[in-house]
Amino acid sequence: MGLRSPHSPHSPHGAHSPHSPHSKDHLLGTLDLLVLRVLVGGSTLHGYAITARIVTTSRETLQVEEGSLYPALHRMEEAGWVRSTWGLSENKRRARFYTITARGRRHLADIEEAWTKHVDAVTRVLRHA
Amino acid sequence: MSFLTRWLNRLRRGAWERDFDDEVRAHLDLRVSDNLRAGMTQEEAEADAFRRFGSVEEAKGGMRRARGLPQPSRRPAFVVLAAVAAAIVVTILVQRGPSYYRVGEDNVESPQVVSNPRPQYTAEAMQAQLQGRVALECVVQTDGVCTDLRVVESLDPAGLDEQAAAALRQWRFEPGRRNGDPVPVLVNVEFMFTLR
Repeated sequence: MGLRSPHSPHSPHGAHSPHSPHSKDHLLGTLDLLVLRVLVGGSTLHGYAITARIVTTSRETLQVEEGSLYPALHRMEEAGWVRSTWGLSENKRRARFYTITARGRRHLADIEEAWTKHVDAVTRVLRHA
Repeated sequence: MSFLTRWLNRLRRGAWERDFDDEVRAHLDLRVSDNLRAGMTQEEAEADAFRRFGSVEEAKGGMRRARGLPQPSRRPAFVVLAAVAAAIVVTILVQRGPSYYRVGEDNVESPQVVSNPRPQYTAEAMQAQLQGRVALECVVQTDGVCTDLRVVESLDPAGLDEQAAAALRQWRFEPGRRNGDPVPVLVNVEFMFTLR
């Protein structure tokens, strides 16, 4: 959800198929994981910086559908995993900055564990089935 | 619901809408600056920012849902608009045509966009809050001009399709080449019409 592979066959330029059936299901829920992980370093970041971190850290393998990050951030704030404050962006524009909360850290630990288990399980099947 | 509650709700909703707008704008603005720094022209930088962002309306709809706010039943009457032509030249990978080439075989290199004026929004499309994609196909001749335009994906036949075609007619390309020589090449160009 909100993530796509830049090389998905359905989006030659990664541009126009935010709803492509590909690259969606298997990444479901990972946006929360990635966002919280980026924020857990203790930094307070606006959405653009979060996007940039995810893209650079993944060496451009993960491309965030940038617009879809914001509903996720607002949902996470409603869930109490992040909180936001207003500040000024590098361009001196009013921007919302996000920080992870204690509850967000606990949630991150949970979903990180679930993710690792899931990946391990898939890896085992790939190796041994 | 009392008048006062309704009025307060409306104020609250208005504040959220401004927040959403500011947040989206800050994002697009930062992307444009980064793009400019990377050497893009203003037009390219803006088009790329919108392309990467996806639908602004959809993002705002998602934010409203996340906050439990109602979706607006009527779109706002006044919108500042920007017609954004994403300069996406999708090369075609199929066989060779009768009087032109297609990229991807026979050592054919894709034409490169040299200048890409934006299409205009029509008043009708603005009023109808029409947004979306128009895909056109044309043959880039060896002089860098488009001929044989055809609408591949229509959005608004009498309006935005025409505007997209008019813009594309003014585009100039570095012609495609085959073994180093300029040749006519079929290209697809997609225009994104976005209101903001």
